[in-house]
Amino acid sequence: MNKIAIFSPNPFSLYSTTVTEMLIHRGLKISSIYVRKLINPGRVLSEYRRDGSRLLKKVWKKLILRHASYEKDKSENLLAFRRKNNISISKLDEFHSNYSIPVISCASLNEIDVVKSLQEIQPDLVVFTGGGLIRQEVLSNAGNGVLNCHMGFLPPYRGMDVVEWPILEDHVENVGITVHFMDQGLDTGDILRTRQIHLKPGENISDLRERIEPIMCQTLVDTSIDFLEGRIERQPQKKQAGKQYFRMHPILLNIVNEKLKSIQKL
Amino acid sequence: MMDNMVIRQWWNLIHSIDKNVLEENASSLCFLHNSEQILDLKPLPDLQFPVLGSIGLFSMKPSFKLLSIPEILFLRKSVLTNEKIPQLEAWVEFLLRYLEINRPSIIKRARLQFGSSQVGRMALLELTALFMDTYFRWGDLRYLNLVLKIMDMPRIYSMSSIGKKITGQNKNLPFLLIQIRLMILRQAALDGITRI
Repeated sequence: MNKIAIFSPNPFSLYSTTVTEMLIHRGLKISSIYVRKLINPGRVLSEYRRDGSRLLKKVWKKLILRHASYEKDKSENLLAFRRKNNISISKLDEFHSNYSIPVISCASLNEIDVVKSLQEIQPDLVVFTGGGLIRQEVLSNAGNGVLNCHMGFLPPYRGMDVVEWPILEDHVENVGITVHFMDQGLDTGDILRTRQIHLKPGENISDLRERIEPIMCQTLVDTSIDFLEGRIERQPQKKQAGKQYFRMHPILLNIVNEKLKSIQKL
Repeated sequence: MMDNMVIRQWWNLIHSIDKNVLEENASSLCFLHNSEQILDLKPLPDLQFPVLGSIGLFSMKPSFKLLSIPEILFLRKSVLTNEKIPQLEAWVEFLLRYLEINRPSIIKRARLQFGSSQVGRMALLELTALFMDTYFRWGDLRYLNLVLKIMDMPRIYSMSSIGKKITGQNKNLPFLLIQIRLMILRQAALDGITRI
């Protein structure tokens, strides 16, 4: 039986718990879960430098409100998806108490202890559900590799805020997600599957992002299984085929929301 | 964001500056990418971007440490004259990434690289002008995005009580003019995007 390891950005990630429990429901063996510690000054500083005041919003939504940040009556958000798929676990350490899966806490997923543990368990695949850039030493001990679902269409849209960027650039056909292997570059690893996301009337960018989350869970789980069972192959990316995008300035984010409104009026 | 009326008032003050002084600051004022028409500004007399000697920048791997202000001006002129050569693209893309990734420490880095806070600030303003020109010439919104972020940094871009300072005698005129140009182009760029 294939062995899978999970990388998670924090002990309370609903995305991580959803993907992990779905993989278990689908009959896969999870050998180990590696979780980044929440309280880590270096991490807080680097994320604040990257995200600025948006980090506070992220912490508020993902760590404090958690389930309460989603509207209960919506049918296409992570909360509804969890209900539909009978996902009951909402903290990573519950996988240890419920399924006896080792949950290893680490300051960084690139720690030597993570490398040693991977060498010991020899996973066939590592499923990445967040936690920062991964170094070569970890990548080379991850069996077939570390699989990530990028909230953007690869290869053209690498980096950050890549739901927003194609809308700003009037390329709404490039709103989508991509399951790909991580490599040393940024979103440049081999692609397994892409999926286009169509915009819906009345959606703002926050609604759109919420709608994409469950699609990412489903696509990451399906693609992991399809890959392990040999139904899909890696497609290498041309490095020159995409650009790296960065956090979008609030003025441009407002323009994106205005564009979304006007797109839907047409 | 700055009101178009204020921009026009400042622009009129620039018109009252001696032409020789304006010529000395031509790199800060020429190539306004049609923004005079968009914002209804009276055109300035014809100003020429400084003539720059050939610099062997394109034979070198892009690096922030290789830059001085003449090199940044050389890159700006290459972009403005529509030279879309691979080495130029590699340099400008490198600088975009460098400033995005190192933005929190860029003022310190510029001070160390350019020898003083003043020269470091001017270099960062020239780099911002390079990104703005790149946006207008190549239409790549990532460059405008970075310009907007830098213009939020008051230690680089500061427009407080600027109207009183726009005279040919002001020693800081180069700083004022390059910032006014950035402000005008930002307004024109955002007007252009929202109009579409």
